Amino acid sequence: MSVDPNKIKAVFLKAIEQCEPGKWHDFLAAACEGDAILQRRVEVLLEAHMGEDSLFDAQVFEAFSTVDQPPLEKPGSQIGPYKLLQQIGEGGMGTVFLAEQHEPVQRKVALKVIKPGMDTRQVIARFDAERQALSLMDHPNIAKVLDAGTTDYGRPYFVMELVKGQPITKYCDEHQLTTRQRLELFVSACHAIQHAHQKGIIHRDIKPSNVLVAEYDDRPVCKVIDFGVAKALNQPLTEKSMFTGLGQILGTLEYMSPEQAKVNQLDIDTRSDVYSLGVLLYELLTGTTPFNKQRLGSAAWDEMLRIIREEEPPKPSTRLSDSQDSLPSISASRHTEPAKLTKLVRGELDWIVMKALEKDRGRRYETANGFAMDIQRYLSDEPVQACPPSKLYRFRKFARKHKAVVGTASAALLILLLGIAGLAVSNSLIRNEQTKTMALADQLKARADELKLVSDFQAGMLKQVDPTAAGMLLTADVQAKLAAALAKANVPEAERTQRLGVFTAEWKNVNATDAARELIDRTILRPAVEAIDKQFADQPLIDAQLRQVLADRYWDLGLLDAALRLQERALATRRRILGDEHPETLNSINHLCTLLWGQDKLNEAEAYCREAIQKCRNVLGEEHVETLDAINNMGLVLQAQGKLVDAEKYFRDVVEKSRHVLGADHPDTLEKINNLGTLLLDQSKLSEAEPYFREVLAKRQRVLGDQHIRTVNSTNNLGVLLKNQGKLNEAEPYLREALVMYRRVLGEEHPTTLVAIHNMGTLLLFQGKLGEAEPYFRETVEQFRRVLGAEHSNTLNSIGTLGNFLRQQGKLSEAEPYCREAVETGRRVYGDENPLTLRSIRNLGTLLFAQGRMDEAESCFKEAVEKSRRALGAEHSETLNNIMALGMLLQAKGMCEESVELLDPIVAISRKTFVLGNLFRLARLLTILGKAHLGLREFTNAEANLLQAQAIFEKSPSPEPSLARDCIQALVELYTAWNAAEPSKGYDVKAVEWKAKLDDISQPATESVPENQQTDQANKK
Amino acid sequence: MSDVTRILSQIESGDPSAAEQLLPLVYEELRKLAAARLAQEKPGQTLQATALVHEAYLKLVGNGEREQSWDNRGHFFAAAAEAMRRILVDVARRKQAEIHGGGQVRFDLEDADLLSRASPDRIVALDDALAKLAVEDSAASDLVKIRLFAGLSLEESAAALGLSRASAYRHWTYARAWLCAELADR
Repeated sequence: MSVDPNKIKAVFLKAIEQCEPGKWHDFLAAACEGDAILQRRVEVLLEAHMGEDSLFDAQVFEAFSTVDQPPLEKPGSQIGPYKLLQQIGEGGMGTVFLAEQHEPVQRKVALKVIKPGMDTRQVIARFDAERQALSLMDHPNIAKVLDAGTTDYGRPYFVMELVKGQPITKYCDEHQLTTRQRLELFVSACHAIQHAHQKGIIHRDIKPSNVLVAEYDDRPVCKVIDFGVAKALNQPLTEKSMFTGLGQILGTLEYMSPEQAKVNQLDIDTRSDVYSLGVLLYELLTGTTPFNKQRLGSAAWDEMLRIIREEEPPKPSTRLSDSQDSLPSISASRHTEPAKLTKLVRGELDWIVMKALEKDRGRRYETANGFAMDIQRYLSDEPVQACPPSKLYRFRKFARKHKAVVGTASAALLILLLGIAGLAVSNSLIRNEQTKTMALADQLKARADELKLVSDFQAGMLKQVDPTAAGMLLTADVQAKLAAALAKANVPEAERTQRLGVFTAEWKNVNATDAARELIDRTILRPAVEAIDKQFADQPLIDAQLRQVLADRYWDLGLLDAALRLQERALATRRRILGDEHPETLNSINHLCTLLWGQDKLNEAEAYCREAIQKCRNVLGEEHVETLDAINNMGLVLQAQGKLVDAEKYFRDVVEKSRHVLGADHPDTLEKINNLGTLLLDQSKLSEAEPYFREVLAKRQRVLGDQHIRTVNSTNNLGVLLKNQGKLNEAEPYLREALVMYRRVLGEEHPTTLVAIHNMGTLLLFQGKLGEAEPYFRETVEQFRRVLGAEHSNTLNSIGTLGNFLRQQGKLSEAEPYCREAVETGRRVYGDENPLTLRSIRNLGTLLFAQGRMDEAESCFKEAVEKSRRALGAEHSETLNNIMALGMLLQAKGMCEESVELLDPIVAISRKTFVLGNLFRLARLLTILGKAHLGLREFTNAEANLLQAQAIFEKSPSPEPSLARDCIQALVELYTAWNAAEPSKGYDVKAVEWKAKLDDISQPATESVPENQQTDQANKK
Repeated sequence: MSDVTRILSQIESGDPSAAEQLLPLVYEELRKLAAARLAQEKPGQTLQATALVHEAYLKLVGNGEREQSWDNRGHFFAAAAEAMRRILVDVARRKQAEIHGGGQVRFDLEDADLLSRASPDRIVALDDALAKLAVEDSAASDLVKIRLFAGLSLEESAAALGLSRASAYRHWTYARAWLCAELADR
């Protein structure tokens, strides 16, 4: 017998809400009116309600259940000697009341009751530990914490001097204080903090809501509140604390120093407060915090902390000029005009704020007082300390000032020359110092450090040289100059417009990015190499370092040969001076590996990789980044050599270690995950690769932005994957986007751009848009040959693809030289068992077959089958394609039994392998099998195979229409033959029907085969 | 505007089909986040369910200028709770299998999420019990789900489900007792 659940619930709730537990029994007896089952059920619930043996751990459950209680302390409550009068505020941590104290003195105070969830005893114990120090504080700008204790409900509370004020930022805005007035007010806050620091108290939670401004005698006076509270609460920085009140913790995060933004924030000193004061000043000047809620809030937890620890915020003046929309209102609330405000802040105030915000606390103001004094210097027009007038400082300052124009070749050259000049100066200093006494050793080391700084800085500068931007500037420059010249020559306006138009049209034939790249090489990189030759003849290590930097830049620009030469020399120098096992030598080996890999000099690269891995492990340990790079390089080399199984081991190893050592969102980790995805792609483990690619793309979009080259790589890779999965329409936007971005960012000739062109061609081919595809294929062959040389795997791939493509078009003799070249180069350079070579061999076989040269074709196919089984495994899609080709040939030769024997066993695995856009391959297999059965006069089997194939073609058209025609042709032949064998069973009708269908398809059937060479490449980096 | 934000505003403007689109998106995101976490963490560590849900919220809906209204967020968290329930129960079942197979599983006790301290057996049992409760009292079981699996406070849960605080509190009290009784029987 069942009881209405609603009734149970009603009685249960009534018992709880209206009765004390002691009276439940009587209540139930009355309420259930003799319904024993109802009564029993409610009793069970009440028992469970009282019990602690819940599904939740009792302790956890209690902590949470208290959250559900309404605040227990309300106006009117008595807490110790304090009587709550009214609630005056509510923050993330607790509720603030106005309270009255009678004993020992009568006064009004602010009383803050902390929200539940803290261990009250510990809070109070920590507060007591600071009580003595707190009581020593006595400063007009500090609101004293008077007392702390535990409420009757077990929650901690703090009693403070009552301040009727507003947060400083709000006060300043509402009263439209000028920048000067703000600074003056801020200085008094610094003095308050300084006073506390002298008494040994660190505030730890400086933010506007803790720096209040109240008016006394019509003058604004700043009061810092909550001293000792943050420490007593000692909120550990965990994701959980974040989610207990996201908005509130964000509010705190914005002001948190980098050292506080560590999970284990043990090491905090007074300079953390200096940092938070810096954030506060930043906000007072600009209206926003360096990393505002929006920036932080859009990031994941770890990322937020990383931003605080690592990211360099924009200078206040930059922030102001960036905030175009809100600048008028920001300025208005500072009683200033927008332009004036930015100008006012730029310069010394920027430097003062940025010094307080240094990530390295050793570079911040030592004390809050130092900070205040510098502001006072600014206010009285004295030179501020924040701009130490060192040579390096001035140099950096100059360079930074010109950073905006570094896009142009001339400005970049300027920077570079400055860099070299800077080095020369420091260099001569070193030499001078060296001749002096050894007591100057420290000074010498400082000089060397400075030198290192300059060269790092220079490397950073060069990295920003972007051929695309330079190309665009070049275009704009040339056009402007021409326009000016024409105007100066008094050319009539109509003619001027016309001539400019013609010029602009002509100019479009020049790839400005390529032009800029050449220009950069000629005007910057080459002179830089020469400068290094001259300047550092007797400083071999600096020479090596700079050469390696330049090698990287050449590599970035796609000028591989030049990169390799520089890198080899850098390595040789380091080996000679530092020895084979020095970390810098190992670093050079890793760089060289990457370059050799990029040029497909794989055997050489492999040898270096092995050396690097072994030495890195010995010298630097398993988890050092250099070791990770070495393992990664090894994976790349093995992958390029076609040793996929081995490569997978290296990649999986390095991905796991990188996640662990660098973190899951670290750009280097993402690079390694991408490589693993690429390898899985090579192995046709498409669904395994997909999550990796998507993860990397999403993270790069978030961390690096859409325009970053790495993000573009990811876009390309995901496109290739989707295409290989047969999701052609889904793939297209990714591949198009990638191509557009590569052309824009890397230029027309960059190897990666060429890969993207190729990928696009393959997609069009798969979509059956042959006419559109052809120019893509021809372009890639030509360009690859020129840029990478005839032996590069990309060149080889593109040649094979073009040959295959021409063959499909029926241009057999035109195709042959391409197909042959691919096989010959493949065998010579990569060996017979490389997947690339094997595919080229099959393609050649297919061509020979189309030409009717059966024996030659057969030996190609047999070789491809045998070697792919061994090298790629029996179930690899390439192996299946090879088997299919051989089966087709056997069938065509009339060896139908052999053909069936060969093909039957791969039907099951092919059903799994060839799905979506690759379904036509399965249909092709079934067609061949059907034809073979027909040849054996096994009509029923043949019919089953062919109808199935036909159904697949209907549903999922092949990129080669001839394949579907071939299938229908076979059906016609089947029914004709069947009718001859068993007349009057209606097979003649079916034959006629299929014949009609065949005639419908206008083009004549030609013998063709399903292979399209898939040569998509995913970029490695 | 992210997909999820768009769907949320569609739901708000009364498009009934929009709600169906939400769950798979949220599920997918949570699953990915969970997988990424599990991949990073040492074997045996439990998922921080509520942290994941909030992270998913930030990722999918963002923390843009315009605060989502609570009603709006409520739909998200209801979907997230359901998604998280599926994930957690899946994980728990898998762990059950591991434990029963003799594998070693260590649970992280530092985490204070309601559920992460529960053993896989408890989670699976809870899920079964919740399914039973849903038959009798779907309002109460919805509330439990959103609290346990999306980690919302009672007030937030009430707002999300469009309940008054008082009735949310009553549902919760009842559901808690009901589930405790149900689980004690096992």
